[in-house]
Amino acid sequence: MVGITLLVVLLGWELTARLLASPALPSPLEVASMAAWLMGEGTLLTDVAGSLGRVLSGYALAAVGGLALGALGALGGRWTAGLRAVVEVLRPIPPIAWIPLALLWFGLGDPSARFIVFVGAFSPIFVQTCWALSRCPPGYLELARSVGAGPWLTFRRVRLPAAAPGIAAGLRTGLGLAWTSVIAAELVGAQSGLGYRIQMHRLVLETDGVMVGMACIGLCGLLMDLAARTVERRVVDWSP
Amino acid sequence: MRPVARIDGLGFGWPGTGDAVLADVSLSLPPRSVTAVLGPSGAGKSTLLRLVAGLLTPTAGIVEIAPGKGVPVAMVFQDPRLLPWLSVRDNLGFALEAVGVPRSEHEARWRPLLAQVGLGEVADMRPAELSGGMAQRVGVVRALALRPRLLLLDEPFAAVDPLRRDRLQVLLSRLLRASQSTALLVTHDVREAAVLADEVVVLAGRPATVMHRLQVSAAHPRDALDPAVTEAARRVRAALWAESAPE
Repeated sequence: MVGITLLVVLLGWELTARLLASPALPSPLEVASMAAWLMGEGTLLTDVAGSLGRVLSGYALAAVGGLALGALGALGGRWTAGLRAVVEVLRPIPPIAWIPLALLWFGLGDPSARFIVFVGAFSPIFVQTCWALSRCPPGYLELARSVGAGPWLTFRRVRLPAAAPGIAAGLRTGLGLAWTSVIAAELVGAQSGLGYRIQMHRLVLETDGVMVGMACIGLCGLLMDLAARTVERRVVDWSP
Repeated sequence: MRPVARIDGLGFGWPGTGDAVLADVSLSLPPRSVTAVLGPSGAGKSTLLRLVAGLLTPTAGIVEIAPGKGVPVAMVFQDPRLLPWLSVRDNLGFALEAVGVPRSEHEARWRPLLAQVGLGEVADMRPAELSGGMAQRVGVVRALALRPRLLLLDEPFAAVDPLRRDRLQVLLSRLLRASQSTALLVTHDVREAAVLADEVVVLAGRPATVMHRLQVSAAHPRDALDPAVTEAARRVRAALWAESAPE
Protein backbone atom coordinates (compact mmCIF):
# COMPACT_ATOMS: atom_id res chain seq x y z
CA MET A 1 0.00 0.00 0.00
CA VAL A 2 2.86 2.37 0.87
CA GLY A 3 4.52 1.57 -2.44
CA ILE A 4 1.37 2.35 -4.41
CA THR A 5 0.86 5.66 -2.58
CA LEU A 6 4.50 6.61 -3.23
CA LEU A 7 4.12 5.75 -6.92
CA VAL A 8 0.95 7.85 -7.22
CA VAL A 9 2.68 10.83 -5.56
CA LEU A 10 5.70 10.53 -7.86
CA LEU A 11 3.48 10.22 -10.95
CA GLY A 12 1.43 13.24 -9.88
CA TRP A 13 4.62 15.21 -9.30
CA GLU A 14 6.06 14.20 -12.69
CA LEU A 15 2.84 15.17 -14.51
CA THR A 16 2.60 18.53 -12.72
CA ALA A 17 6.28 19.27 -13.47
CA ARG A 18 5.76 18.50 -17.17
CA LEU A 19 2.58 20.56 -17.25
CA LEU A 20 4.16 23.60 -15.61
CA ALA A 21 7.56 23.20 -17.29
CA SER A 22 9.07 25.66 -14.79
CA PRO A 23 12.53 25.66 -13.15
CA ALA A 24 10.65 26.21 -9.86
CA LEU A 25 9.35 22.63 -10.00
CA PRO A 26 11.84 20.09 -11.36
CA SER A 27 10.62 16.58 -12.10
CA PRO A 28 11.45 13.63 -9.83
CA LEU A 29 13.90 12.37 -12.43
CA GLU A 30 15.77 15.70 -12.46
CA VAL A 31 15.93 15.66 -8.66
CA ALA A 32 17.18 12.05 -8.70
CA SER A 33 19.84 12.94 -11.24
CA MET A 34 20.97 15.91 -9.09
CA ALA A 35 21.08 13.61 -6.06
CA ALA A 36 23.25 11.12 -7.97
CA TRP A 37 25.60 13.91 -9.05
CA LEU A 38 25.89 15.31 -5.51
CA MET A 39 26.52 11.81 -4.17
CA GLY A 40 29.20 11.17 -6.77
CA GLU A 41 30.84 14.47 -5.94
CA GLY A 42 30.81 13.58 -2.24
CA THR A 43 29.09 16.83 -1.18
CA LEU A 44 25.88 15.16 -0.04
CA LEU A 45 27.55 12.73 2.33
CA THR A 46 29.80 15.47 3.73
CA ASP A 47 26.75 17.66 4.40
CA VAL A 48 24.79 14.80 6.00
CA ALA A 49 27.80 13.96 8.18
CA GLY A 50 28.21 17.63 9.16
CA SER A 51 24.56 17.97 10.18
CA LEU A 52 24.58 14.63 12.02
CA GLY A 53 27.71 15.61 13.94
CA ARG A 54 26.07 18.83 15.16
CA VAL A 55 22.87 16.99 16.05
CA LEU A 56 24.65 14.30 18.01
CA SER A 57 26.85 16.67 20.01
CA GLY A 58 24.02 19.14 20.77
CA TYR A 59 21.59 16.32 21.49
CA ALA A 60 24.01 14.56 23.84
CA LEU A 61 24.29 17.75 25.90
CA ALA A 62 20.51 18.22 25.88
CA ALA A 63 19.96 14.59 26.92
CA VAL A 64 22.40 14.80 29.83
CA GLY A 65 21.05 18.19 30.95
CA GLY A 66 17.38 17.33 30.37
CA LEU A 67 17.60 14.00 32.20
CA ALA A 68 19.55 15.38 35.16
CA LEU A 69 17.50 18.56 35.59
CA GLY A 70 14.24 16.71 34.83
CA ALA A 71 15.02 14.23 37.61
CA LEU A 72 15.88 17.13 39.92
CA GLY A 73 12.63 18.87 38.99
CA ALA A 74 10.61 15.72 39.69
CA LEU A 75 12.24 14.66 42.93
CA GLY A 76 13.15 18.06 44.38
CA GLY A 77 9.57 18.89 45.37
CA ARG A 78 8.89 22.55 46.12
CA TRP A 79 12.63 23.34 46.18
CA THR A 80 12.78 22.92 42.42
CA ALA A 81 9.42 24.55 41.58
CA GLY A 82 11.41 27.56 40.32
CA LEU A 83 13.36 25.39 37.88
CA ARG A 84 10.14 23.90 36.48
CA ALA A 85 8.65 27.40 36.15
CA VAL A 86 11.71 28.70 34.25
CA VAL A 87 11.55 25.81 31.77
CA GLU A 88 7.80 26.29 31.34
CA VAL A 89 8.38 29.95 30.44
CA LEU A 90 11.20 29.16 27.98
CA ARG A 91 9.54 26.08 26.46
CA PRO A 92 7.10 27.84 24.10
CA ILE A 93 9.92 29.83 22.48
CA PRO A 94 10.70 27.96 19.24
CA PRO A 95 14.37 27.06 18.62
CA ILE A 96 14.42 29.27 15.54
CA ALA A 97 13.71 32.32 17.74
CA TRP A 98 16.99 31.62 19.56
CA ILE A 99 19.07 31.90 16.36
CA PRO A 100 19.75 35.67 16.61
CA LEU A 101 20.93 35.25 20.19
CA ALA A 102 23.02 32.22 19.24
CA LEU A 103 24.73 34.23 16.49
CA LEU A 104 25.40 37.10 18.89
CA TRP A 105 26.78 34.81 21.57
CA PHE A 106 28.67 32.22 19.52
CA GLY A 107 29.02 33.76 16.02
CA LEU A 108 28.63 31.88 12.73
CA GLY A 109 29.55 28.20 12.82
CA ASP A 110 29.23 24.97 14.77
CA PRO A 111 28.81 26.32 18.33
CA SER A 112 25.70 28.31 17.29
CA ALA A 113 24.17 25.30 15.55
CA ARG A 114 24.93 23.04 18.52
CA PHE A 115 23.33 25.58 20.85
CA ILE A 116 20.14 25.67 18.73
CA VAL A 117 20.06 21.85 18.71
CA PHE A 118 20.45 21.87 22.49
CA VAL A 119 17.59 24.37 22.90
CA GLY A 120 15.33 22.33 20.60
CA ALA A 121 15.97 18.98 22.27
CA PHE A 122 16.23 20.04 25.91
CA SER A 123 12.61 21.00 26.63
CA PRO A 124 10.85 17.74 25.66
CA ILE A 125 13.49 15.68 27.46
CA PHE A 126 13.26 17.81 30.63
CA VAL A 127 9.45 17.96 30.62
CA GLN A 128 8.95 14.25 29.92
CA THR A 129 11.56 13.18 32.49
CA CYS A 130 10.06 15.46 35.12
CA TRP A 131 6.50 14.32 34.31
CA ALA A 132 7.30 10.61 34.15
CA LEU A 133 9.36 10.54 37.37
CA SER A 134 6.77 12.46 39.37
CA ARG A 135 3.89 10.22 38.29
CA CYS A 136 5.01 6.82 39.53
CA PRO A 137 1.91 4.67 40.25
CA PRO A 138 1.25 5.06 44.01
CA GLY A 139 0.66 1.31 44.38
CA TYR A 140 4.26 0.55 43.38
CA LEU A 141 5.57 3.15 45.82
CA GLU A 142 3.38 1.69 48.57
CA LEU A 143 4.81 -1.74 47.81
CA ALA A 144 8.36 -0.35 48.08
CA ARG A 145 7.50 1.30 51.41
CA SER A 146 5.83 -1.86 52.69
CA VAL A 147 9.06 -3.84 52.25
CA GLY A 148 11.13 -0.99 53.66
CA ALA A 149 13.01 -0.18 50.43
CA GLY A 150 15.28 2.83 50.85
CA PRO A 151 15.20 5.89 48.55
CA TRP A 152 18.00 4.70 46.26
CA LEU A 153 16.59 1.17 45.82
CA THR A 154 13.11 2.63 45.25
CA PHE A 155 14.50 5.02 42.63
CA ARG A 156 16.57 2.34 40.88
CA ARG A 157 14.04 -0.49 40.86
CA VAL A 158 10.68 1.30 40.95
CA ARG A 159 10.60 5.00 40.02
CA LEU A 160 13.10 4.90 37.17
CA PRO A 161 11.74 1.81 35.37
CA ALA A 162 8.15 3.05 35.85
CA ALA A 163 9.16 6.34 34.27
CA ALA A 164 11.21 4.74 31.47
CA PRO A 165 8.46 4.77 28.80
CA GLY A 166 7.81 8.48 29.39
CA ILE A 167 11.53 9.31 29.46
CA ALA A 168 12.12 7.31 26.26
CA ALA A 169 9.28 9.18 24.54
CA GLY A 170 10.89 12.48 25.60
CA LEU A 171 14.30 11.39 24.28
CA ARG A 172 12.74 10.36 20.95
CA THR A 173 10.77 13.61 20.60
CA GLY A 174 13.94 15.52 21.53
CA LEU A 175 15.89 13.74 18.80
CA GLY A 176 13.28 14.68 16.18
CA LEU A 177 13.35 18.31 17.31
CA ALA A 178 17.16 18.28 17.39
CA TRP A 179 17.19 17.29 13.74
CA THR A 180 14.70 19.99 12.66
CA SER A 181 16.55 22.55 14.79
CA VAL A 182 19.93 21.87 13.21
CA ILE A 183 18.52 22.44 9.75
CA ALA A 184 17.00 25.74 10.87
CA ALA A 185 20.33 26.76 12.44
CA GLU A 186 22.32 25.81 9.33
CA LEU A 187 20.00 27.79 7.08
CA VAL A 188 21.24 31.01 8.63
CA GLY A 189 24.22 30.36 10.84
CA ALA A 190 26.53 27.67 9.43
CA GLN A 191 29.15 27.16 6.73
CA SER A 192 28.31 23.52 6.01
CA GLY A 193 25.57 20.91 6.48
CA LEU A 194 22.27 20.14 4.77
CA GLY A 195 20.61 23.42 5.79
CA TYR A 196 23.57 25.41 4.51
CA ARG A 197 23.59 23.44 1.22
CA ILE A 198 19.85 24.05 0.71
CA GLN A 199 20.46 27.76 1.17
CA MET A 200 23.33 27.71 -1.34
CA HIS A 201 21.19 25.92 -3.95
CA ARG A 202 18.39 28.44 -3.37
CA LEU A 203 20.74 31.37 -3.97
CA VAL A 204 21.70 29.98 -7.41
CA LEU A 205 18.08 28.98 -8.15
CA GLU A 206 18.85 25.22 -8.22
CA THR A 207 15.45 23.98 -7.10
CA ASP A 208 16.46 20.36 -7.73
CA GLY A 209 19.38 20.82 -5.30
CA VAL A 210 17.03 22.33 -2.71
CA MET A 211 14.75 19.31 -3.10
CA VAL A 212 17.63 16.86 -2.77
CA GLY A 213 18.51 18.54 0.51
CA MET A 214 14.91 18.39 1.69
CA ALA A 215 14.61 14.71 0.74
CA CYS A 216 17.79 13.99 2.69
CA ILE A 217 16.41 15.78 5.74
CA GLY A 218 13.23 13.70 5.56
CA LEU A 219 15.10 10.44 5.05
CA CYS A 220 17.63 11.08 7.82
CA GLY A 221 14.81 12.13 10.20
CA LEU A 222 12.90 8.96 9.40
CA LEU A 223 15.97 6.74 9.92
CA MET A 224 16.79 8.44 13.22
CA ASP A 225 13.21 7.99 14.44
CA LEU A 226 13.26 4.32 13.41
CA ALA A 227 16.55 3.80 15.25
CA ALA A 228 15.18 5.57 18.34
CA ARG A 229 12.00 3.46 18.29
CA THR A 230 14.03 0.26 17.98
CA VAL A 231 16.19 1.21 20.97
CA GLU A 232 13.06 2.26 22.90
CA ARG A 233 11.34 -1.09 22.24
CA ARG A 234 14.40 -2.97 23.46
CA VAL A 235 14.94 -0.90 26.58
CA VAL A 236 11.27 -0.62 27.59
CA ASP A 237 10.30 -4.11 26.46
CA TRP A 238 7.69 -4.59 29.20
CA SER A 239 5.60 -1.55 28.27
CA PRO A 240 2.19 -2.38 26.71
CA MET B 1 1.64 -17.01 75.29
CA ARG B 2 3.03 -13.59 74.34
CA PRO B 3 1.17 -12.16 71.32
CA VAL B 4 3.08 -11.51 68.10
CA ALA B 5 1.23 -8.25 67.68
CA ARG B 6 -0.72 -6.08 70.06
CA ILE B 7 -2.99 -3.32 68.83
CA ASP B 8 -4.21 -1.13 71.64
CA GLY B 9 -6.77 1.68 71.46
CA LEU B 10 -5.94 2.37 67.81
CA GLY B 11 -7.59 5.37 66.21
CA PHE B 12 -7.18 7.05 62.84
CA GLY B 13 -8.64 9.98 60.95
CA TRP B 14 -7.58 11.45 57.63
CA PRO B 15 -5.67 14.70 58.31
CA GLY B 16 -7.63 17.87 57.65
CA THR B 17 -11.00 16.16 57.21
CA GLY B 18 -11.97 15.75 60.85
CA ASP B 19 -13.41 12.41 59.76
CA ALA B 20 -12.46 9.63 62.18
CA VAL B 21 -12.20 6.26 60.43
CA LEU B 22 -11.20 4.01 63.35
CA ALA B 23 -11.59 4.46 67.09
CA ASP B 24 -10.35 2.42 70.03
CA VAL B 25 -9.55 -0.75 68.07
CA SER B 26 -7.77 -3.32 70.20
CA LEU B 27 -6.57 -6.73 69.06
CA SER B 28 -4.10 -9.29 70.27
CA LEU B 29 -2.67 -11.72 67.73
CA PRO B 30 -1.25 -14.92 69.26
CA PRO B 31 1.63 -16.74 67.53
CA ARG B 32 0.68 -19.01 64.61
CA SER B 33 -2.88 -17.70 64.57
CA VAL B 34 -4.90 -16.17 61.74
CA THR B 35 -7.23 -13.32 62.64
CA ALA B 36 -9.74 -12.19 60.04
CA VAL B 37 -11.23 -8.71 60.05
CA LEU B 38 -14.63 -8.30 58.43
CA GLY B 39 -16.99 -5.39 58.22
CA PRO B 40 -19.14 -3.35 55.91
CA SER B 41 -17.49 -1.53 52.99
CA GLY B 42 -15.73 1.63 54.13
CA ALA B 43 -15.47 0.39 57.72
CA GLY B 44 -11.72 1.01 57.71
CA LYS B 45 -10.50 -2.59 57.39
CA SER B 46 -7.77 -1.81 54.85
CA THR B 47 -6.85 1.32 56.83
CA LEU B 48 -6.34 -0.88 59.89
CA LEU B 49 -3.97 -3.09 57.90
CA ARG B 50 -2.00 -0.08 56.63
CA LEU B 51 -1.69 1.24 60.18
CA VAL B 52 -0.30 -2.11 61.32
CA ALA B 53 2.07 -2.15 58.31
CA GLY B 54 3.35 1.31 59.26
CA LEU B 55 2.16 2.79 55.96
CA LEU B 56 -0.12 5.17 57.88
CA THR B 57 0.43 6.86 61.24
CA PRO B 58 -2.27 6.37 63.87
CA THR B 59 -3.86 9.37 65.51
CA ALA B 60 -4.34 7.40 68.73
CA GLY B 61 -3.19 4.14 70.28
CA ILE B 62 -0.27 1.87 69.49
CA VAL B 63 0.73 -1.07 67.32
CA GLU B 64 3.34 -3.27 68.93
CA ILE B 65 5.04 -6.08 67.03
CA ALA B 66 7.01 -8.43 69.28
CA PRO B 67 10.77 -8.38 68.65
CA GLY B 68 12.24 -11.43 66.99
CA LYS B 69 13.83 -12.88 63.87
CA GLY B 70 12.92 -11.68 60.37
CA VAL B 71 11.08 -8.57 59.33
CA PRO B 72 8.23 -7.33 61.55
CA VAL B 73 5.52 -7.32 58.86
CA ALA B 74 4.96 -8.15 55.21
CA MET B 75 1.88 -7.39 53.20
CA VAL B 76 -0.12 -9.10 50.47
CA PHE B 77 -2.17 -6.50 48.61
CA GLN B 78 -5.56 -6.79 46.93
CA ASP B 79 -3.84 -6.69 43.54
CA PRO B 80 -0.66 -8.73 42.99
CA ARG B 81 1.37 -5.53 42.70
CA LEU B 82 4.21 -7.15 40.81
CA LEU B 83 6.56 -4.74 39.06
CA PRO B 84 5.89 -5.35 35.35
CA TRP B 85 9.46 -4.61 34.25
CA LEU B 86 10.94 -7.32 36.46
CA SER B 87 10.73 -11.10 36.08
CA VAL B 88 9.10 -13.09 38.87
CA ARG B 89 12.61 -13.91 40.15
CA ASP B 90 13.56 -10.22 40.26
CA ASN B 91 10.26 -9.19 41.84
CA LEU B 92 10.96 -11.60 44.68
CA GLY B 93 14.60 -10.49 44.77
CA PHE B 94 13.58 -6.83 45.02
CA ALA B 95 11.62 -7.43 48.24
CA LEU B 96 14.42 -9.55 49.71
CA GLU B 97 17.04 -6.96 48.77
CA ALA B 98 14.92 -4.26 50.41
CA VAL B 99 14.91 -6.09 53.75
CA GLY B 100 18.64 -6.76 53.53
CA VAL B 101 18.75 -10.48 52.69
CA PRO B 102 22.11 -11.22 50.96
CA ARG B 103 21.70 -11.86 47.23
CA SER B 104 23.23 -15.34 47.57
CA GLU B 105 20.33 -16.39 49.81
CA HIS B 106 17.50 -15.03 47.66
CA GLU B 107 16.76 -18.13 45.63
CA ALA B 108 16.84 -20.43 48.65
CA ARG B 109 14.19 -18.21 50.21
CA TRP B 110 11.68 -18.13 47.34
CA ARG B 111 12.32 -21.30 45.31
CA PRO B 112 10.62 -23.79 47.74
CA LEU B 113 7.67 -21.44 48.31
CA LEU B 114 7.15 -20.95 44.59
CA ALA B 115 7.15 -24.73 44.15
CA GLN B 116 4.63 -25.11 46.99
CA VAL B 117 2.15 -22.82 45.23
CA GLY B 118 2.62 -24.77 41.98
CA LEU B 119 4.62 -22.09 40.18
CA GLY B 120 8.04 -23.72 40.08
CA GLU B 121 8.42 -22.96 36.37
CA VAL B 122 7.53 -19.27 36.25
CA ALA B 123 10.64 -17.71 37.83
CA ASP B 124 11.86 -16.20 34.57
CA MET B 125 8.47 -15.01 33.34
CA ARG B 126 7.26 -11.42 33.43
CA PRO B 127 4.03 -10.59 35.34
CA ALA B 128 2.22 -9.92 32.04
CA GLU B 129 2.70 -13.61 31.17
CA LEU B 130 0.91 -14.79 34.34
CA SER B 131 -2.82 -15.17 34.96
CA GLY B 132 -4.41 -13.12 37.78
CA GLY B 133 -4.41 -16.12 40.12
CA MET B 134 -0.78 -16.97 39.36
CA ALA B 135 0.31 -13.37 39.91
CA GLN B 136 -1.51 -13.26 43.24
CA ARG B 137 0.22 -16.47 44.33
CA VAL B 138 3.56 -14.83 43.51
CA GLY B 139 2.45 -11.89 45.68
CA VAL B 140 1.84 -14.32 48.56
CA VAL B 141 5.23 -15.96 47.99
CA ARG B 142 6.93 -12.54 48.00
CA ALA B 143 5.47 -11.77 51.43
CA LEU B 144 6.20 -15.22 52.90
CA ALA B 145 9.78 -15.21 51.56
CA LEU B 146 10.48 -12.24 53.82
CA ARG B 147 9.65 -14.51 56.80
CA PRO B 148 7.66 -11.81 58.56
CA ARG B 149 6.66 -12.09 62.18
CA LEU B 150 3.23 -10.87 61.10
CA LEU B 151 1.73 -11.40 57.66
CA LEU B 152 -0.87 -8.87 56.54
CA LEU B 153 -3.37 -10.00 53.91
CA ASP B 154 -5.57 -7.34 52.33
CA GLU B 155 -8.39 -9.19 50.53
CA PRO B 156 -5.78 -11.26 48.75
CA PHE B 157 -8.16 -13.08 46.41
CA ALA B 158 -10.78 -10.37 45.83
CA ALA B 159 -9.80 -10.06 42.18
CA VAL B 160 -9.71 -13.81 41.49
CA ASP B 161 -12.72 -15.66 40.04
CA PRO B 162 -14.79 -17.64 42.62
CA LEU B 163 -13.70 -21.10 41.45
CA ARG B 164 -10.00 -20.31 41.70
CA ARG B 165 -10.59 -18.40 44.93
CA ASP B 166 -11.74 -21.57 46.76
CA ARG B 167 -8.58 -23.42 45.71
CA LEU B 168 -6.33 -20.49 46.58
CA GLN B 169 -7.89 -20.21 50.04
CA VAL B 170 -7.12 -23.85 50.77
CA LEU B 171 -3.60 -23.42 49.40
CA LEU B 172 -3.02 -20.30 51.51
CA SER B 173 -4.36 -22.08 54.60
CA ARG B 174 -1.81 -24.88 54.07
CA LEU B 175 1.01 -22.39 53.48
CA LEU B 176 0.20 -20.44 56.62
CA ARG B 177 0.14 -23.61 58.72
CA ALA B 178 3.33 -24.97 57.12
CA SER B 179 5.22 -21.72 57.66
CA GLN B 180 3.73 -21.31 61.17
CA SER B 181 2.80 -17.76 60.22
CA THR B 182 0.82 -15.31 62.26
CA ALA B 183 -1.54 -13.42 59.99
CA LEU B 184 -4.04 -10.61 60.00
CA LEU B 185 -6.49 -11.01 57.14
CA VAL B 186 -8.91 -8.39 55.87
CA THR B 187 -11.69 -9.80 53.72
CA HIS B 188 -15.24 -9.27 52.50
CA ASP B 189 -15.69 -13.00 52.04
CA VAL B 190 -17.29 -14.65 55.07
CA ARG B 191 -16.43 -18.13 53.83
CA GLU B 192 -12.79 -17.11 53.26
CA ALA B 193 -12.62 -15.90 56.85
CA ALA B 194 -14.12 -19.17 58.10
CA VAL B 195 -11.65 -21.28 56.06
CA LEU B 196 -8.54 -19.35 57.06
CA ALA B 197 -9.09 -17.76 60.44
CA ASP B 198 -8.91 -18.90 64.05
CA GLU B 199 -10.64 -15.73 65.16
CA VAL B 200 -12.96 -13.42 63.25
CA VAL B 201 -13.31 -9.79 64.28
CA VAL B 202 -16.22 -7.69 62.99
CA LEU B 203 -15.53 -3.97 62.63
CA ALA B 204 -18.50 -1.62 62.33
CA GLY B 205 -19.75 1.86 63.11
CA ARG B 206 -18.38 5.28 62.18
CA PRO B 207 -15.70 5.58 63.42
CA ALA B 208 -15.33 1.82 63.24
CA THR B 209 -14.53 -0.24 66.28
CA VAL B 210 -14.56 -3.94 67.18
CA MET B 211 -18.19 -5.06 67.55
CA HIS B 212 -17.83 -8.85 67.61
CA ARG B 213 -15.15 -11.48 68.16
CA LEU B 214 -15.90 -15.03 67.07
CA GLN B 215 -13.69 -18.08 67.47
CA VAL B 216 -13.49 -20.60 64.60
CA SER B 217 -12.56 -23.92 66.11
CA ALA B 218 -12.84 -26.21 63.03
CA ALA B 219 -9.81 -28.47 62.66
CA HIS B 220 -7.21 -27.87 59.92
CA PRO B 221 -6.90 -28.60 57.05
CA ARG B 222 -10.25 -27.02 56.26
CA ASP B 223 -12.13 -26.34 53.10
CA ALA B 224 -15.23 -24.36 52.30
CA LEU B 225 -17.48 -27.45 52.41
CA ASP B 226 -16.59 -28.57 55.96
CA PRO B 227 -19.74 -28.48 58.14
CA ALA B 228 -17.76 -26.74 60.90
CA VAL B 229 -16.62 -24.07 58.43
CA THR B 230 -20.19 -23.63 57.17
CA GLU B 231 -21.40 -23.24 60.75
CA ALA B 232 -18.66 -20.69 61.53
CA ALA B 233 -19.53 -18.78 58.34
CA ARG B 234 -23.18 -18.70 59.41
CA ARG B 235 -22.28 -17.19 62.80
CA VAL B 236 -20.01 -14.60 61.19
CA ARG B 237 -22.71 -13.70 58.66
CA ALA B 238 -25.26 -13.24 61.46
CA ALA B 239 -22.85 -10.89 63.27
CA LEU B 240 -22.25 -8.91 60.09
CA TRP B 241 -25.94 -8.62 59.33
CA ALA B 242 -26.57 -7.39 62.84
CA GLU B 243 -24.13 -4.54 62.19
CA SER B 244 -25.23 -3.66 58.67
CA ALA B 245 -29.02 -3.94 59.17
CA PRO B 246 -30.95 -0.92 57.83
CA GLU B 247 -31.91 1.53 60.57
